[in-house]
Amino acid sequence: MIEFGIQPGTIDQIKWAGTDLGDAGEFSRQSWSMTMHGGQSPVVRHGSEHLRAVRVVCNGRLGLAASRTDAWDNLLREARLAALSGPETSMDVSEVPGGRVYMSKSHWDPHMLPKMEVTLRHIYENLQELSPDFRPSVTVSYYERTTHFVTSLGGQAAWLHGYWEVTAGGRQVDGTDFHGVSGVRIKGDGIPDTASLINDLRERFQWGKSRRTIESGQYPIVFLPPVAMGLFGPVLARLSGPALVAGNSPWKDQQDQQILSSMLSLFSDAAVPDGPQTGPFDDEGTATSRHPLIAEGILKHFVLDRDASRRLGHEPIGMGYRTAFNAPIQSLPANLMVLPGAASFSQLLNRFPHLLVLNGWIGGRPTNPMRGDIAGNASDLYWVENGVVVGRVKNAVISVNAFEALRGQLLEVGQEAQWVTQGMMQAAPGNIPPLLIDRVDVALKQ
Amino acid sequence: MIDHALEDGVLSTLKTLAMQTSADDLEIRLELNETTQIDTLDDRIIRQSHVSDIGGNVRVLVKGVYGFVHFDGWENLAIHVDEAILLATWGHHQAPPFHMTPTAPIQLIQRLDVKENPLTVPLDGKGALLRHYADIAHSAHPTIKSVTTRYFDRYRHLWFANNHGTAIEQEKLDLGGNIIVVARDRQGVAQRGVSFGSSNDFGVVRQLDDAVHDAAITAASLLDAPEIVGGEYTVVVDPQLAGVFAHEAFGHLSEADGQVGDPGLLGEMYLGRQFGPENLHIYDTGRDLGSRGYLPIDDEGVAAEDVDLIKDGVLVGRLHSRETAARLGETPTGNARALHYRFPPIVRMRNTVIAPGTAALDDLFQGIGKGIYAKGSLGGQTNGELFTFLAAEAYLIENGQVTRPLRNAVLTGNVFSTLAQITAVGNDFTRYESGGGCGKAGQMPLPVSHHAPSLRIERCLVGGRRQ
Repeated sequence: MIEFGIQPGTIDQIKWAGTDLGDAGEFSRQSWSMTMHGGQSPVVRHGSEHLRAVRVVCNGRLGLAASRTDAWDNLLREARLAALSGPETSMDVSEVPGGRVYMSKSHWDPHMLPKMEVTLRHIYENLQELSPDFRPSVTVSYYERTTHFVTSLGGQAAWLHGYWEVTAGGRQVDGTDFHGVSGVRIKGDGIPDTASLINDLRERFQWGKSRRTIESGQYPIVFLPPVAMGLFGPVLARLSGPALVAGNSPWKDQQDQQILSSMLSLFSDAAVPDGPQTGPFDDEGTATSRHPLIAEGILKHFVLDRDASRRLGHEPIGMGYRTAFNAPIQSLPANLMVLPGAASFSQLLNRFPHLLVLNGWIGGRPTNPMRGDIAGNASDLYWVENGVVVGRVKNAVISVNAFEALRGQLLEVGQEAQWVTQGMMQAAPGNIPPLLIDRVDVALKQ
Repeated sequence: MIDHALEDGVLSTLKTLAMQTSADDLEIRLELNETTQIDTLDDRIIRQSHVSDIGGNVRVLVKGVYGFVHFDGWENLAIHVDEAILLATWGHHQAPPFHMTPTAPIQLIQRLDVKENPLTVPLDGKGALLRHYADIAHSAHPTIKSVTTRYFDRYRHLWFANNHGTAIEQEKLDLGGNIIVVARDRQGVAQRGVSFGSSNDFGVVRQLDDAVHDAAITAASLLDAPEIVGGEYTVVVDPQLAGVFAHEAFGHLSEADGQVGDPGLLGEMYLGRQFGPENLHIYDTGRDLGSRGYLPIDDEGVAAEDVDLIKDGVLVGRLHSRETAARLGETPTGNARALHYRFPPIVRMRNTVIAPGTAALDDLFQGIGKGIYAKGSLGGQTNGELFTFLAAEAYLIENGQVTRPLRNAVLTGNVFSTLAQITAVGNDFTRYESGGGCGKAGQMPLPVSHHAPSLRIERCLVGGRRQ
């Protein structure tokens, strides 16, 4: 029977049977956003979503039931039924403390709407000043998720997490040359300071006003955070549950071994205040913390949800998340944090007489994540002479192997880390510093 | 199941609400979605789920500003309408007055028209089929170490009404997936996939034995394949990759929401501009029954038009929503699509097609001293000007002959110059359907199709190390 309205009842009223081993989560998400795209009508949005999910393990098989509207009793019944023919699982139930509730205060207030609009207009007008033909695009958003989680063992927890996100950019088309810039800022307790975002966009737009031609060859390249994040995609693929369970990851037996440059330390951090994925528990109710994945290049922890953890003989440490609100649980880090280095951006630019800065990489994702080969069209690439950006380079394909780039070719880690949001190309949000990588192959169209 | 009394009630409620509004333009949409997903690894199911989504949205346009509200459940519709109007009007927006071009009201109830309905196939049967393909791959070559599969089907029941008299009830179906075969030996790891999709027939999932076997053999052959040396090549792309090429290299640029408000781009994308060779014909259609891009009515309630984008090599059209059509003084084309009720409709492709040419496949290789034959697709991306697509297989062409496999074939180019470098269009037109989807503005994966013949492209820039 399909229920067309959200059925009454609270999650703590679920009537677990004594034989049940399972958990249930109630997830509510609210979002408010304002968007202005050049040439189109502004959009003011509000969304509310609500998901109820029940998991039951029965005779080593997993039963799932999820709905936006169904009553809890129906979902529990459906999950039990699904477990009869469900997939084999090693999943167990997290040890959420009984009767304890962790809640933080919502940062949302309807009075924030005028502030959002002021921010939106301020950025938009600044971008309009870049050039009469510049087409700006700005969105200011607030996202807030409330999670209430219970287990059949009597555990219960509820928590709330919200954050603000400002994305801005745009492009100028001159003949068949597109010159685009974009940036994002995220903050947990208020609208992010937009001055640095505007300055970054303005600076990059100025950098790209003139064009430079270079020859095909190998160059040192500073990978700025949006493209540096792409290099960590294959790393996460090798570290994550599915590849390890399938036996496809070459790192399966490499724990406590040097796998990347000693300059690199990666964490799954669920405690960082501004993180989009911050919270005391993951989406399976496992308590989270700040866990090293790779410390100074040495493999410390894999990225495993509860099922993969138990299959591989590891203790779950809170890395089971959904990529979308009603998507299944996956092995993912909370917020992927890469420890910044000491070098300022300016210092990175001065390491070589000539180098490149890469900020946009069309198609920059691996053809085979286990192998790590990545090649993409450089959409935002700049030529640097003696520490000064002197122009934009076009028609270039950048090719690297992610593992070699993050091992032998990595020269330095920058200090100015920025958030890269979860999206079509990134399974998890990340806070990533610039990376200076040597001997990167660049092929130019003649 | 839904009883018909309820259906009648839903549509009449929406119509009444829509016609009562003070907004310039108002749309109400309700959806009921049921999604089944199965993931397998080798001979076992590792995940299976069946999820229902019930909810809707309201979009209003008031004095040039949109208010958009989405919600779960179907309660309090009148309140959601008021909220959307409040969002559009509360602030100090000073948007220039704007009115959408009215479209002819449509009154329509559209039921599923399927060959084999996946909803009638038991979950066990779907899982068994996927495990059968894993068996085939493992039996094909000893280096095959794992086979992962993903299958999904999604049933959507939609009700839509606007304040211009349109009232539509639609049932839709989408299914697809992929089978990834991984080969591994001391030299490394290689993979090849089989992808499938349909909007009306589970039968497509039953016809993959040969394709899976071939994928396993190919994955094994790629294990010791050297990496492509980056540079410019003449490339021949198979129909599957040619379809992705049409989508990435031109389709996205044709979406008018990327053009409005951009005088520079509109100056380049003028109708009548010569874009490619005279035998190049690219169009977008929502009327291919069975394709994943099948969309007879879009998500603004506009009937699908076949849109010629390039005809005889000349730019002749673009893809529109109601807003972009009004802003450019053109006609809506039925290309406004929303992935889910959480999103407002935006301009998207449906089935993007390169019409067949006359060249035989063998002739496409003639005269190529050193080139690349690229087959299959792992996806692509574009920013409007530049595009990249990832080939699933690549082979070296030497003196007109395909000689040996290569790995990591990433083909890139500039949209404005690459179409002009197409020198031959094959006669091997193929209606390929994949289980992937298109991503734009956070709405991914949207079901789309691309049908095409093989193409020969000169001076294509191919990524790769070892200069």
